[in-house]
Order: sequence, then C-alpha cells, then structure tokens
Amino acid sequence: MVAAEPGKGVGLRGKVGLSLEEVVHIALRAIATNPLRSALTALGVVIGVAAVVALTMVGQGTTQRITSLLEGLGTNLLTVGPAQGGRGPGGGLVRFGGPATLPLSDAHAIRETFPQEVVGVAPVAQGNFQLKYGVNNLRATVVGTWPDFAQVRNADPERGSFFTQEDVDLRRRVAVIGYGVAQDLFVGEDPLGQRLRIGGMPFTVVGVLPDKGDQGFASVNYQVFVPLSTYLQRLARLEAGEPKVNAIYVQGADRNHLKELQERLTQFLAERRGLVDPSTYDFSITNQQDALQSVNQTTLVMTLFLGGVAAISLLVGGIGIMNIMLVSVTERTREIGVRKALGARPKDILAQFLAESVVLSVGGGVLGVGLGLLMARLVGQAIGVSPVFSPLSAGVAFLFAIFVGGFFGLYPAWRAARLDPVEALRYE
Amino acid sequence: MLLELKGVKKVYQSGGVSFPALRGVDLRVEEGEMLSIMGPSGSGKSTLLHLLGLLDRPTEGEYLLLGKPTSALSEEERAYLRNRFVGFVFQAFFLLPRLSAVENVEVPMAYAGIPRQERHRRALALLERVGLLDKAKSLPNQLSGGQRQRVAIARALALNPPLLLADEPTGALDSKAGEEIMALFQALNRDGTTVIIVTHEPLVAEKTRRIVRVRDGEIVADERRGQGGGR
Repeated sequence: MVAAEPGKGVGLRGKVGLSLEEVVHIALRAIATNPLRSALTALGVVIGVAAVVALTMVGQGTTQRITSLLEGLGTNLLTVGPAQGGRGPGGGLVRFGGPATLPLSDAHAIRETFPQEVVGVAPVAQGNFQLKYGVNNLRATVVGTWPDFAQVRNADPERGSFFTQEDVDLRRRVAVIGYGVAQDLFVGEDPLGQRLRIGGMPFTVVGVLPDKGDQGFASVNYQVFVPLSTYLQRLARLEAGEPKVNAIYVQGADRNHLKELQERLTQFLAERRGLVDPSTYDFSITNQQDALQSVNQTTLVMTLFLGGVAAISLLVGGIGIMNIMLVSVTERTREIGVRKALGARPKDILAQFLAESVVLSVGGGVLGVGLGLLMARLVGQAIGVSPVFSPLSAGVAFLFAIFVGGFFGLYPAWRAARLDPVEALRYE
Repeated sequence: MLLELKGVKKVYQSGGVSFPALRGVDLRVEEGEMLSIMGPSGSGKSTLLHLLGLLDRPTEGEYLLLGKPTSALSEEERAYLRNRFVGFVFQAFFLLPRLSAVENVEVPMAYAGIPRQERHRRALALLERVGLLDKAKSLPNQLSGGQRQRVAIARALALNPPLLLADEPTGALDSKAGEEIMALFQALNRDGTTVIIVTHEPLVAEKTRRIVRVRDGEIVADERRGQGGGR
C-alpha cells in the first residue's frame, strides 16, 4: 500500500468505476450511433421472441376453442355407440352415420336402472332427408331423439321450445330446427308454427336453436330434431323387430363419478347382452373427459414443439448479436485503448459492451412481444381462432431474450475488457 | 521522489521474434519537474512513456511511484492510477469521435464515479481554462488540430493529476498551435504539475529545463539547464 501523495491528495488505491446508469447511457449512445446495424442485430431476437409469443398464443387459443366446443356439446356426457375399431358385429368399421345398431330398450333400461346417477338419457337415430318449405329445398341431418336431448347436449331452443314427452308418446310431427336450417329454408320468415316437409312428411316447427357456430364435425346448425317415436315410424320406416338407434347420450349427475358411471354402464349393457369377453362387445361408451384430455395433450405437444423451434430461432438471434458485437469490439479497439488510458477498469469495459448486447436483446424482446401479439392476431383471424395471451410464455420468451443477449454478449465483452491498452492505442 | 525507474527493460515478443525496446533504463523524476524525452523514432521513448503512464509493464526492473513498487499492482489498481495520478496527451489527440468536446473531458471523471452534473460543471470550467468554452458542444471533427489538442489537455487535467504525460503533443500541429500548447504545459508546470514530454523536435525540447536523450533503448544523456521551464 502506497501512502497518499501529499500535494494532490491521491493515493495509489481507491474506488473508481462507472455507475450502472452510466454504463447503460454509454451503451445507448453506441446503439444510437449506428441505428440500422443495431436494428438488424436485434432482428433475430425480435423474430425469435415474436415466434414464441405468437405460437403459444395461437396454440392456447386452439386448445381453448376445442375445449369449449366439446363442453358446448354437453357436460358430464357419456356416449354409448357402436363398438369401436372394427369390432362391430359385421366386422367392418362402424361409426356414427352407419347403421343403427343399439336397441332402444337399452335407453329405457339405463333410465330405469340408474335413476340417481343419470340425470338425462337421449337415444338418437338419424338420417339425411330432403327438407322442403315452399319452393326452398335443403338436405339436412334429421335426428330422432327424446326431450332430454335439449339438456344433455346443450340444445335449448332460442325461440319456441323443445318437443315434450307427450310429443314423443303421441308421435307428433313436430320439429326443432337448427339455426342454419332456419336461415336457409325460411329465408327471413319466422319458422315458428310453420310447416315444413321432411322426406315428404309435414312437420310443424316448434323451436329454433341458437347459432352454435360452425363446429365442423357436428354442425348442429344444420340439423333438425324430431321425436324419436315419430322418426322411427315415419322417417326410418321401421317395419318389424326391436327398434334400433345410432347412439345413446347419457348425462351423469356428478362430474367426479363420470368414470365410475362409465364402467358401471359398460358392465350393465354387457350383462343385458349376456356378453363376458370385452372383445365381443357390440357397443362402446366414450367419455367426454377422455376426448378433452387427448385434445389437450395433442395441443400441448404441438405448443411445446413449436415453442422449441422458436427457441432455436432465438438462439440464432443470439449468435447474430455475438457476431456483431465481435465486429464492434474490433472496430472500437482504439476507443477501448483510450478509455483504458483514461482510467477504465477491465470490468468497466466489460460492462460497457455487455450492456450494449443486453440493451439490444431487451429492445428486441420488447419489439418481439409486440410483433408476436400482432402475428397471433393475424394468424388467429386467418384460421378462426382467438389467440390467448399468456403472460407466462411472453415473460419466459422475454427473459430468455435477455439471457441470450447476456450470454452471447459475454465473450465479445470479455475480449474487449482484456485488450492490452498499448496495442489498442496503436490499432489503426 | 515522484517516480523512479530502476534497471527497466522492455522486450516485445512478436511472432517468435523478440525486440528489445528498452535495454536497462534508470530515471528519477522529482515532483514539479518539466522534462523532455528526446530521441529518433524507434529509440524506445514512447515505450518509456507507456511504462511511466502504467499502460504497460516492464519486462525486467522496477517502476517506483512515490517510492513504492508498481509491479505487484493489479490491473484494477493500475486503472485507478491512470485515472487519478496520470493525465495523458497523445500526438493523435485520441478524442472519442462521437462525443462532444465537453463530453470527452467528462470521460475520466465518469470512471472516477463523479456525478453527471458535477462533472459537466467541472468539464466546462476546464474548457474555459484552455480557452475553448465556446466549443464545448462541438464534435472533434468540427475542431482544428490545436483545438482538439487543447480539449485533450483539458481531459488529461480532468481529475487534477500530479503527472502529465505527453506523447509528441505538437507533432500533428502547426508551429503556432504547437507554441500555444507548450505555453499551456509551462503554465501547468508553474502551478505544480509534473510534465513529461516525449518529442523529437528540438524546438519543443528547448522549452523544458531538463532533456533526457534516448537512443536504441538506452538513456544516452540527461541534460539539465538553467533556463527554460520547470523549477
């Protein structure tokens, strides 16, 4: 330790150094000096962050849309249908829209056997028929069912009402029509109380369903609902034997016991048929929860995959920052020498260049989140999904961008910090 | 004793070839002196100045500052001394091209941790002292060579260092500007600053009371005279 020099009051050691504010100030000036280069340098990070934000937003929007779609079809819903995976009695692949295979008596039996556990039972038999009103024609799916359908499948009419048990008992020719049918067939007229012809048979409209949106695989908007008894006798033209239906919707009383109910129903239906070996079952019961879960899983995998791709682009952006910072350090060798001669410590130089790359990546991160929001909106509009902003994924992308700036800025800054001052001053 | 070199050697290694820039130099400088170091190019005089300014380390020998050895000082401590103890003036001025005159003068004070307003005030005072207050906001490329060198001197004086080191300070200036710069150094020296000027111009060296002559990495003469500047 050397004593203070008497005349000037300066010792050989002491505190020197830039404040953080000073460091950021120097970095901002350096960035502003070459705006085009700075913008291009940050562009990689901008695109990377934007991609992460946009992809996760659209991914979550898709998940939410499918979830609400499935929930819109009814809550606590079990669907009894034909056996899946080609194990139907004919050996062929049996699906909805295929032949009706379930005895209607199953529906009655379920209703009577599980009065507590089941709050609604709606067997459905369906077929495509020509609809006619005045001069207008339309081909649509006609579904014969029970009044419980309105509750079980969330199909309460917007106007009028669903048909009643009495309608079913008396095989009345009444119909509840989907929103699209009302629009296309009745074009501006009030369909309530009007008579339309279904496969030539006159039916009176008693209810119109609200717009359910275009749900693709099950577009309720283009369906017509009639009492099952009427359907079987008048439209399906049942001749002899036990009436059959395509599916039976069962609404459970309790969400938490839906799985248990599914097992009990399977057991019950198997016993009714005298079947023991599950591989010989001619029916299957699907749980709405299962469908939801598999959808969620699929979109999660997709989101993670796309997020990974986006993270890689962020990494590439970081390498771009490193590249430009290395060039910048070389170009400013003289400046580094001068600063060192004037008293800059190695850590001051390190901080100066590190701050520059972090400011670049933070700026890129901010712009990236903004651009990502915009991209998510555009993509969402294009594919009909309303994107869901996730502060978590935006935050993670943003922090990752800062980390990338720090990590890839470290090496160039370290190179600058350890430059020899004499050589740096001589550098041309 | 302000500073002392004892048997200092400096060898540069470059691509497997070693070049001895200094071959064993002994030099003592008292506080308040003003001296020139003269010699032809390649004689080692700039190397000598870099060593005195703690920009470089000797390969052999010891550099004593205020009687204390400097060889064990860390890079951080050397940076502190360059900041507070030494003021540098270079032939090519070495102003930071994108900073205005006043901002250039502020740079050493920023590294000393002086708050912005305080150092701006002090920087303006220093520019006034070198007669450039009206150019405070000018960028270096808007100034003449003589003006740039005066900004550089103001910057060197920013933290009132006891030692001023000048490397060919008039080398890039016309004779009138050169004389003004030398007058400034003489005035500073009268106020107590130790000034060491490396030059190959006899007209510059004449203005100092002591002339150290260097050739081939060795001191060949150390002349002290009655007239000229210095105490």
